[in-house]
Amino acid sequence: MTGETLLAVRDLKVHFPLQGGMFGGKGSVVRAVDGVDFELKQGETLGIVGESGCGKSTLARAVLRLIPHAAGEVVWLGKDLHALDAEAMRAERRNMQIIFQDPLASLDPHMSIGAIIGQPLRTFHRELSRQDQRRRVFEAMRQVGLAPELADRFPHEFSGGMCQRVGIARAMILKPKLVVCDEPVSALDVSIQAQIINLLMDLQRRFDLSLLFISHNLSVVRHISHRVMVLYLGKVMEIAERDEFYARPLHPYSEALISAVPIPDPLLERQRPRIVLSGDLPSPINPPSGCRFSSRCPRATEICHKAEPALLDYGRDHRAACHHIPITPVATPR
Amino acid sequence: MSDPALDEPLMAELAARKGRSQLQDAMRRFRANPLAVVSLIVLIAIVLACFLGPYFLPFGPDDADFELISSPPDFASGHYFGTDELGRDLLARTLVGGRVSLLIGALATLVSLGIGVLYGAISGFVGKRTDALMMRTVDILYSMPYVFFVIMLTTLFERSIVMLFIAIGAVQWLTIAVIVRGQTLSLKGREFIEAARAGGMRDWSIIRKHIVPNTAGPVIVYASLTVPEVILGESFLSFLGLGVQEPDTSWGVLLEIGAEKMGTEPWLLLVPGAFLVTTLFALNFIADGLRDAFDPNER
Repeated sequence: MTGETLLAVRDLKVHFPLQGGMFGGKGSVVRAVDGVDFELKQGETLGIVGESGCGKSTLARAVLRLIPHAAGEVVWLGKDLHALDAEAMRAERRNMQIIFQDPLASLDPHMSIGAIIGQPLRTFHRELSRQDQRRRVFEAMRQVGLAPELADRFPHEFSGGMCQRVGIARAMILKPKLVVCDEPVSALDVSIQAQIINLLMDLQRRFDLSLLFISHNLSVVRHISHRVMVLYLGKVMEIAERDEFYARPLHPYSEALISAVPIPDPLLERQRPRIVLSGDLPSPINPPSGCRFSSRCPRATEICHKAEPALLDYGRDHRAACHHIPITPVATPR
Repeated sequence: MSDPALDEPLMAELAARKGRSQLQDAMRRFRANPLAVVSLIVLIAIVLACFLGPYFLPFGPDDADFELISSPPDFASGHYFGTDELGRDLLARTLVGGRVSLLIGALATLVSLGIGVLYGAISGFVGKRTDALMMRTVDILYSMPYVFFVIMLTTLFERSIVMLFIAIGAVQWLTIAVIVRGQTLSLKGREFIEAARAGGMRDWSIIRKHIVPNTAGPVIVYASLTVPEVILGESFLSFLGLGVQEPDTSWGVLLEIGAEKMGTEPWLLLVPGAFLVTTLFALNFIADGLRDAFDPNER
């Protein structure tokens, strides 16, 4: 797991302009992602967690350039994706795929399973014969645990878990380097979740895949990730190796998130200390001044409302953005 | 790279088996719908009768029989459906008139369907300014009176049946374009379109492979409603002297004449009316069958 750096995201910002006034007055802007930095190595899984509306999915789409960015860079193997022209970007897409949250909605109801899985082949490998295409489709179906005999069925005949396998087969058929998983298991039953997670981990091992795994389920993220990144209102609060993160969260928001994970033992569960955050996620149109978390933070003091904390390294590649971390940072911020 | 558990012979066999195409699949389901199949047979029979039937009749559509002017249906004389006020055989005239009506109905609908679907899908998919511009153009064309349009075209060009197709088609595609655009807007936000984009498809392929097939349901239904509209629209234009002129005829023209004489010679209305109604019924059942056949959720 010490592969080369595949993806480097630097100060990425995604803003959505709100409708201006009736006469084209300047509208305000939703800062969905507001300056995010991270790197992803070959074969690595980065878990991205956060509440609904913190910018996880927007980040995922901006990384794949499915939506335009406002500023920053997404460096993919040395090239800034957002600076490429349309054709060059299209060529890069064969190496990066996405798996969606709603398995059924991500499949065209008018196409058979085989046609859906084979579509990327027809887009990028037009030279393949029909037979070879079908062969590759069956291979991909086998890999995700679907019987090739099902290729002529249609999505609505399938359960959610099977549809998600179809989505994974479609993402895997071009043998990409990066797969972005946008809450791939949130819409599935718990028993199916485990199957899909294990399938993803298995595929990752076999093909040395890099995964950006987005979820709001910390247990799932703990299971699959090598590193974890916490987002809050479009900013990185903390990023660290998985075990380091769960054993020693530095940011109060991370602590609160981890404390909310139930323990499957009623005795321990009853004794476990819980940090309950008050209030809702503030609006990303008008985030709190200073630290974005200050309006809900149990540790907040005056400085938090005034100055925005920088993302500092606290050793062992553990970075967090908070004024109230008791240990001193080892390095200056990048 | 490939799965070690892969069973080569089975894979080869499956790969060789041709995939069930969407069209074959739809055909199979269409055939399973008796009403639609019967309607299709009826429609084919009417088309054949109109295009071939007149050659087998003892009377031409313009042959006047002065002995039997305005005679009611009568088996003895051979005028099974009677004659009009010039003694012309009504069956012959109805069949020949059907050629024009069916041609206009089919061609104008197909043309307007083609233009409308493409225009609407592009407008909705590209969005933003292009969409605004394209839809305002539709609004402007919508606001122009249909008759004005036809008069303009017929004065600029020679009057012909082709002109009729163009004039009617030019108006009919507008509604289809608006319907398809609306469908496209709702499809555009669906995740499978995003998946297609992430899969590297060009916009044009996405429109062709994902947008257009998914608008098929409402488009087919609307097309089945367009056919009668076009056939009746032709009769209206002919009535104004802008369409088909004597001695040529069409169902619309025959109906117009029949309606005038409804009180005294009802067969002049009933015969062409029966042909038109049968055709329209058949078309509606066929459209219904097609819509079900192409609806993936019926599979």
